[in-house]
Amino acid sequence: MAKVREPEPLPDLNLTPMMNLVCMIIPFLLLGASFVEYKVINVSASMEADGGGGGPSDEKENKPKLGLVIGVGPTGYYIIANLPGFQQSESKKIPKKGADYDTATLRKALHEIYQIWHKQAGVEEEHGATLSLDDNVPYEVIIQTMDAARYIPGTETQVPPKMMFDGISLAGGFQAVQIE
Amino acid sequence: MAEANINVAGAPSDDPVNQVYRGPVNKAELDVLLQKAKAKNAERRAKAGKYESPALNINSLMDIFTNILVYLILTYANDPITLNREVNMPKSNALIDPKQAVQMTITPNHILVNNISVVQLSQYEYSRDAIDAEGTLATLKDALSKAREKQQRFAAGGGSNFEGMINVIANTDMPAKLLLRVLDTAGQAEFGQYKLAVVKNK
Repeated sequence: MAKVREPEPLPDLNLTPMMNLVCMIIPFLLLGASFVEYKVINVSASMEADGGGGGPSDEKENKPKLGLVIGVGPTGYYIIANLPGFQQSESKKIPKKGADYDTATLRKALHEIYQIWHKQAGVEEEHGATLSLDDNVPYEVIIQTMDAARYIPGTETQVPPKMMFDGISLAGGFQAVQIE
Repeated sequence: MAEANINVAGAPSDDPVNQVYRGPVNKAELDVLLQKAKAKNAERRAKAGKYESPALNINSLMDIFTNILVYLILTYANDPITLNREVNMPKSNALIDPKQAVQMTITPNHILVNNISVVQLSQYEYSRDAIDAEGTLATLKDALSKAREKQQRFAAGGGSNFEGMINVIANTDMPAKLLLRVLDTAGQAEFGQYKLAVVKNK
């Protein structure tokens, strides 16, 4: 009877060079990797404040426009909109709280405007606003102001959250109004 | 010659459990026995050839490293925003993910287009010579126009449309005046979609 040969066991793969390579690549990638999550905010730019989302100057459409302008100055915010109580002559002013801008009050006021506007009959849905900026307003404050205007309060944790005024247009031409 | 009664476990010799080796042992005799044992071991090693250490099993370690490597490569490749060390971006609750686009970074001392410095600043102030007749930053406009042409060629080659998108990365303390000037210049260079990069607020 012929003797059956047992197959020879495969030799172990030498993984040491591979390990060396991987150990070299990992620190390199760790140096380049970022562990912070980045997001972006869409904005458009216009050099003068003329009312958000087309504004009242848009003569092509006869439907009324909200024309929301949020002024950001050195002493606080002001809000102008095509609504009673928020017109140019009676703009709502939100002064700073100490050194900080009062984003909580701004948010409440914008939510109020959003609700009043969308309760009216015969108006289009509005999500646009113009940020009228003073020359020296820091970038961080611009971002905070846009954050305050973006979502309907209480819906931030929803997926997706309900948008309030997310179509932001940046403009210079801050009106030096007295905000106190 | 001194004699010592040595119990193996060092316990009292009358303990029945520990009495493995009974009787007195001469200490010198014990040394000889130990030396013999050592010599025997050395002889056995010499017979077996060279001494081999046991093989280390690195398969599990390789698995961990491979997973880390894949994760890092994915993170590295997917990030359209490369942050300059001088820039401290503001935090925001925005939810839009960044896309690949021309990158404009504004630091207190430079404006960079795709990480190449094109305008020299001094604490966000630019020299009057940097402004052209149209009120835009001339060198920035040139750099952006070149970047736009490059993007347009890429878009045409890939069969897609040029979107005119620009990612703006800036420090928290940059004044609005400079931001508006820079966005106006980008508009003159035919960019229409401005994306302000922020760090997601947790």
